[in-house]
Formats: sequence, structure tokens, C-alpha cells
Amino acid sequence: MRPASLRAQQLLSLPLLALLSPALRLIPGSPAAAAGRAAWLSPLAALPILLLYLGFLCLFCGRRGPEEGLAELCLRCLGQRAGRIFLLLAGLWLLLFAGFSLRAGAERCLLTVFPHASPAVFVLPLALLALWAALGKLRSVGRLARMLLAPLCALLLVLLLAALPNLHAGNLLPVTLYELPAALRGSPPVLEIAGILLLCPCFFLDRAESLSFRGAALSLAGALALLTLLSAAVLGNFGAALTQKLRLPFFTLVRNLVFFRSLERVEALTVSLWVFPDLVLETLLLRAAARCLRAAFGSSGTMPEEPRLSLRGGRWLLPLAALAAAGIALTLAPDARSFARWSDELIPTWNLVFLALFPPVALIGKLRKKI
Amino acid sequence: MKKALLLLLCLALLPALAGCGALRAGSVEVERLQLMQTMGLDPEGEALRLSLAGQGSILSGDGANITAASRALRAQASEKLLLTGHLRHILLGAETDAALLETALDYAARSPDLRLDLPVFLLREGRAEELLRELAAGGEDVSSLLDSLERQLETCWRGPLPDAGEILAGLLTRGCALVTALTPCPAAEDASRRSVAPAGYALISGDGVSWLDEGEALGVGLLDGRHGVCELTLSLAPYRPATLELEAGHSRVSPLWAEDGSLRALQIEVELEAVIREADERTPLPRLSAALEGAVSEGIRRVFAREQALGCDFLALGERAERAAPLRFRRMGRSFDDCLDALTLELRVHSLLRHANDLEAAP
Repeated sequence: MRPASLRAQQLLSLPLLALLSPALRLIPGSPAAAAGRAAWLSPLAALPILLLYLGFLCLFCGRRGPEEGLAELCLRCLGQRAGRIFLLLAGLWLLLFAGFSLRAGAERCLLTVFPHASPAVFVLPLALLALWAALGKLRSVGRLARMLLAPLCALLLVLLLAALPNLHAGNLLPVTLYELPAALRGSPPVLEIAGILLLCPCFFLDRAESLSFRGAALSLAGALALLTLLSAAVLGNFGAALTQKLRLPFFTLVRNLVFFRSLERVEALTVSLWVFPDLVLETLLLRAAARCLRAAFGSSGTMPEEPRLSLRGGRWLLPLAALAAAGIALTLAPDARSFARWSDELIPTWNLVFLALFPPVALIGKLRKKI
Repeated sequence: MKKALLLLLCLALLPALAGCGALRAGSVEVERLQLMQTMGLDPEGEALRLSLAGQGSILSGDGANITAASRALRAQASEKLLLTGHLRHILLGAETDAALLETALDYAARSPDLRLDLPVFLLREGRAEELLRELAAGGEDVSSLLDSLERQLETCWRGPLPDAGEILAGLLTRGCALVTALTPCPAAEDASRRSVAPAGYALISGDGVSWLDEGEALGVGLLDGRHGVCELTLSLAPYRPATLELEAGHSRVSPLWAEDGSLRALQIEVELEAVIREADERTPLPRLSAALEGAVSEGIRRVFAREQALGCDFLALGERAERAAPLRFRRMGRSFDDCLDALTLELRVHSLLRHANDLEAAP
């Protein structure tokens, strides 16, 4: 079957929309804990490093052959045995991250609107929906992301505008060169979420138009500018000390907003709209994990786009991955403290380690003259 | 096939259109809900007393914390379900200490029902529960009364109206915070009924509660930059007392440095714009301006002295001084709170009387 072609804009929309899901969990709370008042500059401080990583990904993926994605490229660089072990670990990590992301989406609903509900109420339907989307054509998910990206960004901007009147300059200013180290200290959460979401689409490059560095860099800069505005709005309203104490400061801010002295309590609507970034993130992670595991188990080449209910050509890995992610989501963190540890320490650290593994893989491939 | 599936899906969703009760056993129809809009809190020994007011009724309960008190309170409630999702005000009794305030703010921050922009009021005398009951007994709708007071304070008050989030942020950042103070008073329409009036601010810190009167509140408002159109009545013997409407006031804070680079003084420049509301027509304008500048200077000096005495920068002057000279401020090597005690204040107030409301003023 001829692979369906995903346009570059659709491919870029996938990580950009998915980014909105972890961004509102981590930003600006985590940067505020490390950077204090300068935390609103952390997304901008992360931009040069992310551009470097994007440049690396574009160069590395430029060496892939026909019908190859990032998984097959890594296999070629590392050789069959080491490559399969690497892809097995990468696949399992992406599965764990998918499970954690499912749980994080459920926690957002619990903390903001449904405090007495069970996480399973949110985890299981989202896992099913993500499986349904992952079993379908990637182009459909890309189109969905492209359609939703603009309205969700517009909604974010409206919310940020509504938050402007309560902004306290003292919570954000002054900004001097002395703030730069603090802003850099606050950048790892931005690096890990943006980095992992830039990496995931590279697994599907066999089905998409090639990514241009310029286009991807502009999209990345736009996304980070939006995150900077978002951080400034939250920090400007609450200050760094209160922001770092709140689990979901952005949604607390949304709960406070009143439009024209009459419309208020829009947080439930906003939280429900964030199901779409969750869905795209899950679909992206499930497909990337299945792609790694499929290559690790010896099936190389493009995963066929079959009818949804067909499980041929390694597609059986998708329902298995969704089941595993749902299982992880329901068992991962039994209490608030352990969830906070997973969210603030373990997942960010291991995501950064995971991202750091790809440049050595490329180097090994280069030394072995495989790329 | 797809159309049939869609039709089936639509049919499956039809029960959802019958209202909440059809889907969820625990759901309650609107007429069985009692909307509570004001929360009153008083210390009660080691525990606290929670009062909820709304739709003409007041309910109170005791507990070790707000949730426990709320449980006790719900047990006494009638068949109606108390709905606290639209609480609009928090009213604290005069015996409130920092611990009770932190309990209230912690509850507001954690509760999915409450918002962090709820205005918080602290009574200068009496208990919150008693006041709520007296207001309700006099036929007052407590929430409406506090709502109109809030609107009045936003437009005509001399200073900011701190909300729960701002107070919480102040306590976390500076260890102290201002809370709007109210005092019970007889209602204007009927002296036998009760009402409430603004009474400056309560300053809450780990050391306890201290009070700022309305003159100091003016200083707070001018330094904070958030004040409405406030009226100032000035004694100007031998002329009749005059009332000026203070329409705008801007302050600029600049740090003044010693030769060794330490902070020695704060220079505060205040620009005022006012109009003459009521005055003896013989009163010379320079005399009016001087009296206005004197009253404002006194308010600012008093509130600055309170800040120094408490050793707590509740006016956020340190942040403003840092914004004015960030690099020198950073090189200072000491925190602003450490310097506060020894700082001198250089205050300049300049006023402009814009007009005299269509009546010729004296030259």
C-alpha cells in the first residue's frame, strides 16, 4: 500500500498541539521553583538549546533512507543487536511516558473540576480514543491537530488578555542580565517537553513531507513565545512564591477570570477543551512507542495503514501499547506526593536523558559509516 | 454503516438530555439547592466557627478546620443542599490571627469551588457570625450588602482591595499582608439596623494583627497606585472645611544611595490631581493645595513609619526601588528588609487642583 503523505504543516501541528497538554501542567510552576521571578523568561531561555537540538534532528533525519523513520535510522546506526535493545528501551520509555501523560490529563480534570471522581473515568476513555486515532490514518490526526491548533491558541490568547488587568509589574520586573542564569535554571521543564515532542514526529517521517529547519524553527519560536506570555500572565498575577505552590497555576488563573463582570467560572470549559491536546499527545506517543517496539521485534519498514480493525503488519502492538499505557496510568502514582515526584522529577529527568541519547546514536552511526 | 452507527450514538445520548437527575443518582435539582455566598470565620478556642450566609439564612458550625466545621454545619441544614461554588466574600471576625487567616487562604487555594480573587474582609470589632446574624435579622441580604460595599470600595476607596490570592502571595513573599478592615455600624436608613463601613486595613503578620486607619489607607493607596476617586475633607480655619475629590495620584519611588553603595533613603514623589467638591469661596487655592499636600504627606509618612516599625515591606517599596535601579539594588548586598529600619524618607508631594466644579474659586 502506498504510504499516505502527511504535509509538513500537519506534521508540525502534531507536536505543537500536543505541547499544550504538558505545558500547562509544568509551566510556569516548575520554572518558578527554580528561577523565581525570572521564570517567565525560561521558555525564551530554552529557545537556543531547542534550536540546536532541532538542527541536529533535521541533519540526522536528513540521512534516512526511503521508507525509513527515526526508529529504522537508529537501527541502521547502531546495528541489529544494539539497535534493537536501544529501540526496545526507547519504546518502553515512550510507553511509560504515554501512561504518565494519560494520568496527568486525568489529574488535571480531578484537580480543577471533578475532585471526587476516579482517575479511571478519564484514563480509560482517553486511552480508547487515542487507540482509535492511532489505529486510523496519521494524516487524519495531523488534520485534527492543524484544525484545533489555531482555536486553542486563540483561546489561550483571550484568556491571557483577560488576565492582563490584574498583572502586577513587581511580580515580573526588573529584568536585567542577572536574571539570565535564573531563567536558564528554570528552562529544563521547557526543554524536556518541547524536545520530546519535537522528537516524536521524526518517527513518522517516512509518511510525511520532509521537515525544513526554517519552518520548524519558526513554529518552535512561536510556541515558546506563547509559553512566555502564558508564564508572564500567571506569574504577573500570582507572583513566583504562590505560583510554585499551586499544582496547576494556569487553571487557577482561569478560575479567577471574569469577563465583562458577568461571565465567570470558565475553567470547566477550558479544561474540557484540553482533552484535544491530550488526545493528540497520546496518539503521538502510542504510535511512536509502537513504531520503536515493532522495529525492536524485527519488523522494519513503514507500518502499513490498514483498516482500523486490522492488526496485521505489527499493528497488534497498538492495542497492546494502549492497554499498557492505561495500566501504567492507573497504577503509576497512588498518592499526590508520588504523582508530584513523577511529574516534577522523574519524568522530566528521564525525558532529558532520553533526548540526550540520540546525538551519540548519530555519532556512532557516523563512525560506523552507516549514515 | 457509518450513518447507522452515528444514529445509534445519538440515540444513546438521548437520556443525557433529560437533566442531571436522569444520569446521576446524587444530582440535585436547582430548587433544592441553597446558594451560600458569604463565608464568615471566627476563632473558637483551638477550633474555628464557620458561618455561611445566603438566600436570607445563616448557618454556623464548629470544627477543627473549615472542612470539619462545614460538615457540622451541613448536618444541621434542612433538606436543601448547600452550594458553595459561588461564594463571593470571606468575612473574618476581629479575633482573627495569622493562623486562622492562613487556614482560610489554604482552604480557598485548595477548594475547587472557591476562587482566589475572593475579597477578604476583617472586622475591626465583633464576631463575623454575630454580624452576619444581625444583618440577616435586619432583613439585609448579606451578599448584596457586601457586594455593594465592594463596588463602592473599588470606585471610591482610598486604597487597594486585596483578594485571597494577593493576601496569600503577600504572606508567602513578605511574611505580612494587608486585609481590608470593616467596622459594624448602624444602618443609614434605620439606626436600629446594622450595617458595615470601611475602616482602613488590618496588617497581618506572624507577630499578630495591627490596624491602619483611613489616613494611612490613603498612603497605602497612593503608594500602591490603586485607589478610586476618594474624597478628602480638610480643615482650613478660619474658612469653612473644604472637600476635595482626589481623582488621580501617581507615585514614583527612587532609591538614594550612600557613598559606600548602601541604600540610605527612599525618595517618593507623588503627583496628585483633585477637583474642588465643596469649599468656602474665599479659600485661596494655594492654601487648598497646601492642605491637600499636607494631608497626603502625613498619610504616607505615617504608613512608612508603620512599615519601618514592623520591619515588613507590606507596601512593596523594595520591589519598586529595585525596578528603579535594578543593578545597583542587586549590588547592595543586603535585603531591603534589612535596610528598612535605617532608611530615611524624602517625600515630595505636588498637587494640581484641576477645576472647581463650575463655581469660581478664589485666586
